[in-house]
This record gives sequence, structure tokens and C-alpha cells, in this order.
Amino acid sequence: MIQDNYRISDQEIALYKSFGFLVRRNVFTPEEMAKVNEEFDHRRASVVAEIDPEEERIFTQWPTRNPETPFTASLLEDPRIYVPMEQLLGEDSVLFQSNCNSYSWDVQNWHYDVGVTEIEMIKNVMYLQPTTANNGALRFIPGSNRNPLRDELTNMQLAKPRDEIGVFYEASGLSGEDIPCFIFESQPGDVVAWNELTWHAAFGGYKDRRSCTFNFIQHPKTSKQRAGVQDMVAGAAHSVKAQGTVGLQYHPTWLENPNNNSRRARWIKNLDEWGFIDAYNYGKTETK
Amino acid sequence: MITEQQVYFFKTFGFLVLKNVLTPAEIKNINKEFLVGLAKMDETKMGTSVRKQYNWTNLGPDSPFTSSLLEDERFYGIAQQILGDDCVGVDSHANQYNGNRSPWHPDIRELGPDQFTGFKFTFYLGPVDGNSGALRVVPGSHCPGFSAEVEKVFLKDNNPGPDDDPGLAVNEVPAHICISEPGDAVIFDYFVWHSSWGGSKDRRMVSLQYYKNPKTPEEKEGMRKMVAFRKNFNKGFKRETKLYPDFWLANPNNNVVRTQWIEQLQKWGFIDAVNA
Repeated sequence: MIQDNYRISDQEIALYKSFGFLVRRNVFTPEEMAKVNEEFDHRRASVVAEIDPEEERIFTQWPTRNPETPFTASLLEDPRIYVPMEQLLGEDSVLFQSNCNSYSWDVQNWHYDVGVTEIEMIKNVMYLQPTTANNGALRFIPGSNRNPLRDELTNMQLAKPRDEIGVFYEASGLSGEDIPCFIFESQPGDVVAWNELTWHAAFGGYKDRRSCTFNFIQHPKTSKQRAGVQDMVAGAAHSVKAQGTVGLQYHPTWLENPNNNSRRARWIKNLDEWGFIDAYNYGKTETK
Repeated sequence: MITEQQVYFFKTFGFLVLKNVLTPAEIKNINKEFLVGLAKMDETKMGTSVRKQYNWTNLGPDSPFTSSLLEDERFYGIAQQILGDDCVGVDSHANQYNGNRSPWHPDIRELGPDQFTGFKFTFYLGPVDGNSGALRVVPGSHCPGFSAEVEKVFLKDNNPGPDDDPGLAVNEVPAHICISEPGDAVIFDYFVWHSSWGGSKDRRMVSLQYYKNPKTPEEKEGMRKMVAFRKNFNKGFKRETKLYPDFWLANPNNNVVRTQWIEQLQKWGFIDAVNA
């Protein structure tokens, strides 16, 4: 049963469905965000120590489900995060991925997160520092989770890597900042949830711009949806490699579920059945 | 003229911002003519909505320069690029807003894009930003699928939800804000959702409107519906003058483009309908 106190309104559901994203303000308190930042400091230091300094990384990512960050890890099972997701994706949806991110690049060009359209996934992001339009705020193109806009933006080549220029940009003289959008200027404690098909970007980043993400996936019911989950599982190992994620997505202590949390038990069962644990933790590319 | 990429941008997002289309001297001239029109307004002519809007045609003898912009290559040329060489300049209005917002809406709900194609140039005579009445748009919302989704969102002003969840204020809807300086223009598709927020008294805006010449049976039927729609729509404004004043219809300078437009507007039944 979804807990009423943490529910989003029908209006918020309609807004998410229409625009492909939903902004929620002051979800976490300043004290809670200070705690997250404190854990982030410690974990980042240990992660950086693990990385070969020759790599000169501008992006560092590590999974949230980690005993070194117990408070941040507890947010996975915090009703402020999962209740709205269960409203949007179903009570049997699963939190399949959760990471902490330290970015040191200035541009995160326009892109969508996944190419899998058969199954719906939502990413929740909270930034640990204030963001503004020119200071790393996430931007969204409303309604770009659906066609024809979604494909039109692909045709425009908005998603070129940061060292390449797409045809449209080159011919028009425009840059990513000129693409019309909603700019999610935020304070620590605000959370934005978006359909992972929705186009988004950020400009004006700085060293160690911080975020925590919580990604949910629908429980597949149809053969198409099951195929969508399989595609995600098949790409999981590659994503760990491509992102350079440090540490296991599902830490053994989290998988032990010492307090017998029923929601976590359900998640673990599904994640294991679907092949996510083998894929993320052990790099297996074949699906179960 | 605009570039191919600007046309592409407009078709993809449903709007386009153009910088420095009019010179400061031209804006001064438009303002001068605007004041002549405004002087003829009084409270009885103010719209009753939250916009607190005065609206009058620029096609009369009081505003010859503003009126000429409809035929100006800078605007008509762009209209031809987007709508075809035989598109028609249909309207030009002056608007003074005294309310602090214009609620979210597309200009046309009654027809689909397969039935009708047209757009509006708007230019503000003063600087406007997100909190002082700049045009807000939902990019891409001119597409029917997305527009139908936006329609489902409760809006405090004009699509309220239940008392405990009345919906969003204008500034709470995620949108792109078209910041503009005098001389800039925004083109937007009639189907795109737009609004403004934070305007104060005496926010001035001039619009130029163009329609595609209907070709297909669906478009011709769409134009018939549009004529009926505009006939009723115009009753909502407390205008003293006809939308097409005799001055404009007389075409004193024998402007060839205007001659063609008047013929076309008459063929559609537009002039009789909106002037009735």
C-alpha cells in the first residue's frame, strides 16, 4: 500500500506524463543534505585513491549502495523517493541503479539516457550544491520523451559528443545553450525525476559538481517489456565500463538485507531474476 | 529572410526568436502610432480577463508605418519561406496589457495542423524577461500529441483542478522564456502553448499574422472553420473599429501584395465575417 504522506498529487502525475519530467522542491532538509555531502566527501576521497592518477578523470561515479555511505544508501528505501516512483511506474517497480557522481566537465551536451523504449524508466536526481542556468543546472526539452519531437532532436544531431559538432549546430551557429528548454535551477534538497527518454543537458559545470541518482524501472508484464529489460541488462556491463563506475552496484552488505526490508527483498529477487546483479556486479552480458 | 536552420528550428519547436529585426528609430515610430491608438481606448474597451488587455487593429489610418510592416519583406519574406509564396498577411494588432499575466493557451484549439497552418510575429515595445511579461512557450507543443498532453495539466487560471489541487500558476509550468529587447521579434505557431508572467501596467506588444493558402480539401475545410471561428472570436474583443478598416481595404498606394491578399481574404469570406 502506497503511503499517503509521500504521495505526489494527480496534478504532479499529469505533469510528469505530459512533460516527461517532474520537479519536486525541498524533498530533503538542509541537515539531511549536509549529511549526504559529508558522506560524499569521505567516499569520494576513497574512490579517488582507488583510481589510477594517470587517468585524469573528469567524471567519477560510484554506487550509492555502499556501507561507507549508510545515510545516502538509506535514501533508496526512503518513501520520499520510492513512493512517487511506485505511483508513476507501479507498486512493483524496482530501483535498479543508484549512483553518486562527481563531474568536473563544463558541458553535458543534449542527450537522453537510454535508447530502450519498450519499458519505462525514471531517473531521480538531486544536486548537492545549488545550480543555476550558467552553473550546471539541468535543462529539459519538455515532451521530448515522445515522438515526433524525440526523433526530430536525434535528426538534428543535438547529441554529438562534446568534442564534435552536430550538423544542425554547425549550420545554424547555435550551441547547446541556445536550444529551448526548461532550466531546473535547484537548491540542495530539490529532486527532479524524469523519464529516461527525455532529452536533457547541463552547461556551466565546475570541478566536483555533485549529484546522487536513483533509477527505477517498471516491472515488465508483456513480452515487449521483458525484451526491454533484457536490453537494459545486456547494456549494464558496458555502462559500468563506459562510466568507469568504481565499486559494485549491489554491494554484498546491501544484498544481505540485514534488516529484512521487504521492499529491498523484492528488489533483490527481481534484480537477480532479470540478470541485473550478474550484469552490473560481474560484467555478465548474457541475460537470464 | 531566415536560414534553413531557423526554419527547421521553427518547425521543430514551434517558435523562433529573431534579434534586432526592427531599428530603434522604427520602434520609436511604432510607439508613436501606438499612443495614438491607445488614446482612443477607455476602460469600457478593456478586456475582462486577467490580461486586462486593450486590443486594436494596426490597419487603420492612425498607424500607417505599423500597418506597412505586414507587407514588409522582413516579415512577409519570412512568412513566405515558412508558409509558401502565396501565403496571406491576415492581421496586425496592437495590444496593451495591464494585467500581470496571460494564462497558458494555444491560439487555436478548434483545428488540427492538417487543416490549418499559420503563425504570428510578436514584438514587444519594451524589454521583457521571465518576471516582466516575456513570452513563455512550451517548445514542441504545437505537435498534436504533445498539445493533447499539455491540455491534461490543471492550470489555476483557465483549467482548474479540484479545490485541494487547483493546478499550476503560469510561472509553475515548465517552459522556455523568450527574453526580448525592443526590436526583437518572436514568431510562434498558432498551435504552440504560450503565456506570460509578471507583466506590469502598459506592456505593449504588436502582432503580425500570416496564414498558409489552403490547398488540400482538409485545408479548405479548415479555412471555412477558421472563418467561422474568427467571426466569433472577434466578438470577445471590445473593438470600436472594424478589423479591416476601409483605409486598408482601399489600398491607397496600390500595393500589389495587399491587392492579392484582399482578393484572397474575400474569397475565403474572411473580410465579411470578421468585419460583420
